[in-house]
Amino acid sequence: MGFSWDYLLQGFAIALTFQNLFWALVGCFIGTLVGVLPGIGPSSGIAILLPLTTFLPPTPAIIMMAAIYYGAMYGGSTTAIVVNIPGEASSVPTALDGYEMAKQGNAGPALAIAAISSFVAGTLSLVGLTFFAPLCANFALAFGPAEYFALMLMGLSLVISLSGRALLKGVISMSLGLLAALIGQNPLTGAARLTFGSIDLMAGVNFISVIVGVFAISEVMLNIEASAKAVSLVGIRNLMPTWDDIKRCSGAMVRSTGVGFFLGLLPGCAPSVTTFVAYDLEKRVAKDPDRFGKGAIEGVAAPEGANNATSTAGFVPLFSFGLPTAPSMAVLLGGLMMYGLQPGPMLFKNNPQFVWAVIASMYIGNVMLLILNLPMVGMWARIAIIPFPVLAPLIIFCSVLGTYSIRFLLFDVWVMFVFGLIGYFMRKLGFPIAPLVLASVLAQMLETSLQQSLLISQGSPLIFFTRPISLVFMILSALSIIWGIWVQLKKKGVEFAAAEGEE
Amino acid sequence: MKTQRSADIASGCFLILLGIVVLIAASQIRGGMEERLPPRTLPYIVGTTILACGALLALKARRSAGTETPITWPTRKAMIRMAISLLAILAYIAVMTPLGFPLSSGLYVAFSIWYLKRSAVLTALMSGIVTGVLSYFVFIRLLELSLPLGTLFFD
Repeated sequence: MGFSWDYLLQGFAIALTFQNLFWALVGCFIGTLVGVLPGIGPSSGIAILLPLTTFLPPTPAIIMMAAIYYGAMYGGSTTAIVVNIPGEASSVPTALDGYEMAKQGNAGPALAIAAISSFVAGTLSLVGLTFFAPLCANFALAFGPAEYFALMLMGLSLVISLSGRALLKGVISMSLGLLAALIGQNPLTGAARLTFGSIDLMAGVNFISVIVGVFAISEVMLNIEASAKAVSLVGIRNLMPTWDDIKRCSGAMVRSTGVGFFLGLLPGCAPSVTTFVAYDLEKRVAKDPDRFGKGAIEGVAAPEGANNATSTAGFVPLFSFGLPTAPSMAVLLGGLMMYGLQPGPMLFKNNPQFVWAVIASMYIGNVMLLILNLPMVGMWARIAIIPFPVLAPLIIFCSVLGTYSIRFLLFDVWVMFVFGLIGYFMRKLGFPIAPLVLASVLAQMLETSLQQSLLISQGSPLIFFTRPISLVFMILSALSIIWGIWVQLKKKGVEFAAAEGEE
Repeated sequence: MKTQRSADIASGCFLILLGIVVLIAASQIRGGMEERLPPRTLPYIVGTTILACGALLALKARRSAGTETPITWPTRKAMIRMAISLLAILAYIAVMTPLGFPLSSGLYVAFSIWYLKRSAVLTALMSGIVTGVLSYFVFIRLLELSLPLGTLFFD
């Protein structure tokens, strides 16, 4: 099993059927919309729509979910440039130079270079995904429960150590996520735990409710608090960038693809982190770094490229190990599981048509997005200035609809509401949110693999240290925590504050 | 709770309490030690971690006097706006079973838009009606999601 052209071509054959093309287009459209609208990010966007796609077969459903995800990555830049409101945290660096360019009357070229850079980086990293994912999956075939447990532990500890200075708060956030997941029934025995005698709590806390709550609801509350201001639209003229612009940015596009893709393979390195890294890198390699922040076109190309490279790279660990690297990937993982597809090496073996169709559809989706974004950018910019008082109730309506439809339980809607409040206070008090979300998704797999490993080892936890691959993961998780503590003590580590927003 | 420091002390104390509650609840989980992973182990670990981290957070904040960073809490006006918006959501969820999904959604959307933007009466009304009608025809009839229709009207 490794990469084979046959599989990829078969994937294209499936992805090019009318139904799959249609849902990819719908996904790209909704994704761009989600990206453009402030107050709703890709994670909550996918989470809300996930339960509503159950009428679709798995392949078109996941094709659409993936399209929403990378579509949102495209859309986030539009508002950052035109109205200086980054739709997502990952678009914050884009706004630095993008909005400056727009103020100078160059909104057109800025938008165009953002779309082109996204396209180039997205496609280049798709090539990376195409060859990398099967390789990793091959490697992961040797994994047993012990290796999976160690891998997920490493994922969680990386996410925590990337919380930067808020290491302790990262651990707390993760523990709260694990706690939420523990409520309900023991997955092995079905016995009630932490339910305080309540029958509702027996159903357990669904992580979709958690995600929609901490992202969508708390974001709406923050916006209601800030009382969304009226924004003015910058006129968009001469859409096309000059050849000179493209030549000037080609280096930035390639560099940001590299940065975005390879960092994006690591858990915790969400687009909101890598876009800053890529922007910073461009500033360093530039001959005249003074231009940055004053409308440098590379300052738009670099973060946008890194953004898309990272979001594509996240599919490598998701497909080959079943390990989500960011909250939005965790939602996609939930979607796969809802359809009974267990991501990981067996996915490539048992459902090759499915995986390759999704990968192939991403190549097609990238082209669709370029077409959707370049000529229609004016329309998207106008959508972005829908007044928040109109938008907020509609986001809440969609959130309620989405969470109710997971299991058709009103309880899930209440859980969403409660986690909305929790998310609001966590953001206000400086707790990172990503560890909570990842922990609540990973908890079940973490627990199951722990149980299975201990069954194999007859109760001895040494199993995690005697098997070589598992040992490596354990050492890496320890190292990442030590690194996190070291950064904390040095008190001048890189600030990853942006990682606290939604990816 | 005006500064990061006092907020950290407060959230630390809250986490200590939460940790204790979790530990007590965990001690009441039934199930034997015969299993390889006793059912109480994970809840104990999580409860202890929350308790310990909460204590650490509060202590660290207590010691860090002098380095105060203020937290911007909502102004009085914003607080009222948020409270009413939250109450509207609460009411929305609470009346969903008796009034049904389409009607409660329409009412919620219309009220909230009107409340947040008083001048947009027509927008509020239209959005409410469209939301209700779309909910019924698209989500209930077309997609056949089993959303509540309202126990008041349909039994």
